[in-house]
Amino acid sequence: MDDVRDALYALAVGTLDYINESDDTKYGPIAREEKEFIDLVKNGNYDDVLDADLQEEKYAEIKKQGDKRILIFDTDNIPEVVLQNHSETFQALHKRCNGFAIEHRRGIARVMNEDKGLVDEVFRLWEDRIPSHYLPVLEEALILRALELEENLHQQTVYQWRREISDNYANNGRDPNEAQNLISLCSTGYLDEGNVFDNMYTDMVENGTRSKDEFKDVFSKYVDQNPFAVFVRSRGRSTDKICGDLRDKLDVIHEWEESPGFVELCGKGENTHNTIIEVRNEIESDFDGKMRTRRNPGIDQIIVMFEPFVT
Amino acid sequence: MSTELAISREKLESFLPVLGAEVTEDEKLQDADSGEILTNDEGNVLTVDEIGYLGHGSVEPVEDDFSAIVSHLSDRDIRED
Repeated sequence: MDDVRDALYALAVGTLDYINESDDTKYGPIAREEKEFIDLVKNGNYDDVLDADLQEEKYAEIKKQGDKRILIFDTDNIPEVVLQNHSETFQALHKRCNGFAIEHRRGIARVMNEDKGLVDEVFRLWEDRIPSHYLPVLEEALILRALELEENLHQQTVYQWRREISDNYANNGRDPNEAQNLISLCSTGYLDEGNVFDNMYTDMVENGTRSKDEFKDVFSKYVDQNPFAVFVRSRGRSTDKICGDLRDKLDVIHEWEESPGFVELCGKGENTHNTIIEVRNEIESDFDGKMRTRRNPGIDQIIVMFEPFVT
Repeated sequence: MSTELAISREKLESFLPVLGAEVTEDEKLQDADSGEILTNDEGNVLTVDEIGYLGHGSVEPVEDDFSAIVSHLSDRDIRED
């Protein structure tokens, strides 16, 4: 068992002990609910724990939330003296976990505490290469991407948390659309090692003669204008508007400094796939260049690359 | 993946005493021993409805906002004060 389960187990055992000690009658309760509490904590199949409402006198039960199984316990149903007796245990746990989330923010601390390289490696790649005002957005975008992968967040939650990142960026006097672009670019993997921006940095600075500051300028323009990607949301623009945006970008992509030479149409989530296929078919009919579709089933992502021939 | 403990908003009143804090009548957090009103790291008082995370340090309420929570948990010195 891990720390959280250990603490909850101690609480469950404490509850049983309290009930047994309180029972001064010969025909007292057989403590069935208390024993079930202990059994659920020790042997139950659950991913996380949540303190939330249960029916009166129920200590705990396991419920499915999305694709996770949650052991719910109710502190309103546990005797106050038992809670107080375990205060030290939970305060120590609070410290070890670096805090506790309010229900809907579950996952953030875990992703940050147990980073498997999704965040730290990519962040370290960019922390000296891009303007410093982007770094909080980059960190937050990487954490959000890890959450999408590991916590299977609902799309609406993702959109809301993206909005919170861009609002925070705007509160510092910056353009929230820049933040939204950077989040999308990060989410799609364009800042990963070996991808578009890393290759751009290698060509310009490491193998080229350009300075870090010159790269920062070019990077800023790409984040501001987002010239090589069109991101499709599940409930967003019409197919016509997306086609228009894509055509506009294709017309000028080769004019961009350090251009990757392509524009990609990206969608995440099953609801975007039909739109992407429609747009692809529409553009394909009069497109003069190479096209390639790739999928990432792990995150339900589809990307169509359009590489116009240079004229 | 380790097990995470989260608290629903309606249970803050019964859970917080376990951490040595309590909810006041006007829905703020206070230290149970000293009675001191607990604030976030910017010195702002948050009501129960505004909290998204219970930071460690006695209890430090953190705003119910993704950037605020990441900023609280991050050890990177990348944010303007």
